Amino acid sequence: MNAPTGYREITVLGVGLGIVQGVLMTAAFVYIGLKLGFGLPGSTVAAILGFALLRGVGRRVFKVPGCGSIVENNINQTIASGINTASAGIVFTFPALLLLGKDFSLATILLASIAGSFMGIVVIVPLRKQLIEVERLRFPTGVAVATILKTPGAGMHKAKLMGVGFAIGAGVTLAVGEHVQLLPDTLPLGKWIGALIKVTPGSPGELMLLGTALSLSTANFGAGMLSGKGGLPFALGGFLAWWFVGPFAVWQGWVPAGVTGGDLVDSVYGTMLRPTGIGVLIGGALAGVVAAFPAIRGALVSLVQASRLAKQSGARAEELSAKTLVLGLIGSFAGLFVVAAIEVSRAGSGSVGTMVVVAVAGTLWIAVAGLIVAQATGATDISPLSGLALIAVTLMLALAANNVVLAVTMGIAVCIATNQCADMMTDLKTGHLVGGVPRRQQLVQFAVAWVGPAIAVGTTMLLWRAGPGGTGGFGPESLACTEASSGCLPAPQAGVLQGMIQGVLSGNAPVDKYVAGAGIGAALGLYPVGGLGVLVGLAMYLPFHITFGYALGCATSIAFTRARGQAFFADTLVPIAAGLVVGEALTALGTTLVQLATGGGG
Amino acid sequence: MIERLGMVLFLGGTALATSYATRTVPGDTDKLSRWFDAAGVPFTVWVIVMIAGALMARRPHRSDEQSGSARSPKATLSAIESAFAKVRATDPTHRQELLEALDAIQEQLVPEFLDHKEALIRDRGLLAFAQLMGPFASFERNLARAWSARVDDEVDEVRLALKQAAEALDRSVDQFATGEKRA
Repeated sequence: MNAPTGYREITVLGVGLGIVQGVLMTAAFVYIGLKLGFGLPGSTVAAILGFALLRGVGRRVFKVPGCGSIVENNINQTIASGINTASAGIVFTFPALLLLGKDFSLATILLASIAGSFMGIVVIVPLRKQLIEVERLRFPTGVAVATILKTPGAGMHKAKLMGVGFAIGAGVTLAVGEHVQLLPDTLPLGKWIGALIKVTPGSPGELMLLGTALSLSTANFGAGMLSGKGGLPFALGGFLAWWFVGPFAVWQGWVPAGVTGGDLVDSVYGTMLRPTGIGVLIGGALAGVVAAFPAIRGALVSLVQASRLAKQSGARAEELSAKTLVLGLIGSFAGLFVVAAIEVSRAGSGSVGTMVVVAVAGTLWIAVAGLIVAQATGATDISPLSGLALIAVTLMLALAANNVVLAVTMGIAVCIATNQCADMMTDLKTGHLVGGVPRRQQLVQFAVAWVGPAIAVGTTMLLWRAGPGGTGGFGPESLACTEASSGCLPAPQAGVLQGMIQGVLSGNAPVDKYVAGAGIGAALGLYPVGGLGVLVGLAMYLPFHITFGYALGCATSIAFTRARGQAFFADTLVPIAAGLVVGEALTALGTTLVQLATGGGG
Repeated sequence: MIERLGMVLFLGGTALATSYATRTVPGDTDKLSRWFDAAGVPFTVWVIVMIAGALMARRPHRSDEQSGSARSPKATLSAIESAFAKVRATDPTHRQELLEALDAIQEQLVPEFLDHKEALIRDRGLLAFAQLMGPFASFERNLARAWSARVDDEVDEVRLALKQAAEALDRSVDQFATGEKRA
């Protein structure tokens, strides 16, 4: 029996600060998402504030002994980022329902959001061993947050290197920002080369050149550095898509005649590479589950055995118990079933069978999409959330006879759940690196899983009801946007989903690309490199300038590690790369808040 | 040789099958069947080439041939045991000495052992590797916890974490030996 030592991990202060930070970030990031169309990372901010408030104020000012320990701050950032996962999930989906003018029940939306939030945790926790211990995914943000948490003991050399990375990240982000614009945010490398050599408009060569660009995102480069050789398949997928597949399609004449220049790039990307990439992601994830089945089964068995062993020996249990996970899964499934039942009844069409099918399909899709997002985030720090949400809504529209309200409501659950999966795994990676007990992180994230959805849905409704007559507070047709006032919240992501729903209803979903891509993804899963299908699919799903920047980060890391050894990677490259990631994230957050405070951004 | 040929076939098959997957067909209805009519045959052929290449590339190797490390996995694990024995012999109140000893294991020896991952999976199978990684990851996490606790001046927790790391390392060594016998 191991007696507790009093080392602070789950504490009232740590949990309380995590909840306060999570609530504030969720409300703020819903607003930012509706205004600018992108989400912001929360864990780095929470870790730094936790360091200042718990260790600085708690220990030094209020004299709480041992306050702000590394693992206590880890719990704080786990809670804050866990609550904040709801903001991105809600902003992408729920406003579409409001913009479509559909009649919906707020209670159902809230129930779907909360059920999704819990389900995301219960489906991904059993895969912790597989993704973190067996596959050894890097989770660049998880590494960056661990580097922040470990600052008090890392020594001056590493702190200075992280500071250098931070300064470069902040400097570049400011330089490419829309107010300064010292540098373009993307370097059109191929276009520059195209100025030197003649290429025929509309030819494979033109696509190759115009598609080749480099994003000046230090977070992207830093994530590549942290991933090293593990990120190579992702980089190769980008080259394959833009230097072979796209040009081949143009050469074969599959692109409409007369399409040239930027339109050619948009056409190949939007109608060919991106939808096929989504299919490859799905096929790759499913093949990955099949290939890793022995290990996943082993992980599930060890989950049960470990908690039994811990109970007998009095040792620390490392995982949330299988019983808790099963109860969570049953509860979340029941929530989704109730949502399906209410919406099917409200629509007046459909049977109990439809309700069951929708709830089961929603649950299965959450498991698949959660695994895809966790693997993609683990290998590259990039999440294909929007593509997976689009598939979810498409699937639900097909299953529920084009019941838009039900499809979007289930889409909300899927979005929140998949974000939870990625966040939970990233936090567990951080915990692995700082010595946190996984069970404690899982427990706190589970306990507050309902908070984020409630705040995000509430904030969205508040902003919607701020419009004239208590409606129409955001969207391109809102009063503020039509008058081009600074209060305009265009809700661009919801606009994309709205357009997609209208496309599916008119029968225009690229089902052929999804199916063919899934076949490729499944075949990629046979090659002896873990997660290949997901990485290649993600590379096709993203524009090349992102993949290219990440590839350069991988190449830099591989070259230095080969030349200087593994110790150089750990001592020098990791702190610099962590600084690059954190520098961009915090500068982007800071400039966004300044922009909003000064009335910009609309 | 066969693995290289497999890799070339796999890459070629992937490139061409993916290209045919992107083939667009005009019209909004029956997209899947119309795509299959237009591109189904070459797509299927290249997917088969992909699969053949992947199967050829899966040919088993010996772990010592494949890793980038100079030491075998067994030798690296022994080096971890030796380095950890030194950590346990270090007085936990000696902050810098302990942190440096822990860093040496976490930043050099553990990554060196994990460099053998692909080869170990090929030699012993995924399940055996997963069974090895369970206790080994617990060892890593408890080392990290000892590091954090030492930075936070929690010496009792350092001792507890090191004790648990020792138990996990013993289980890892046992698991490694079991896997070796089976392989």
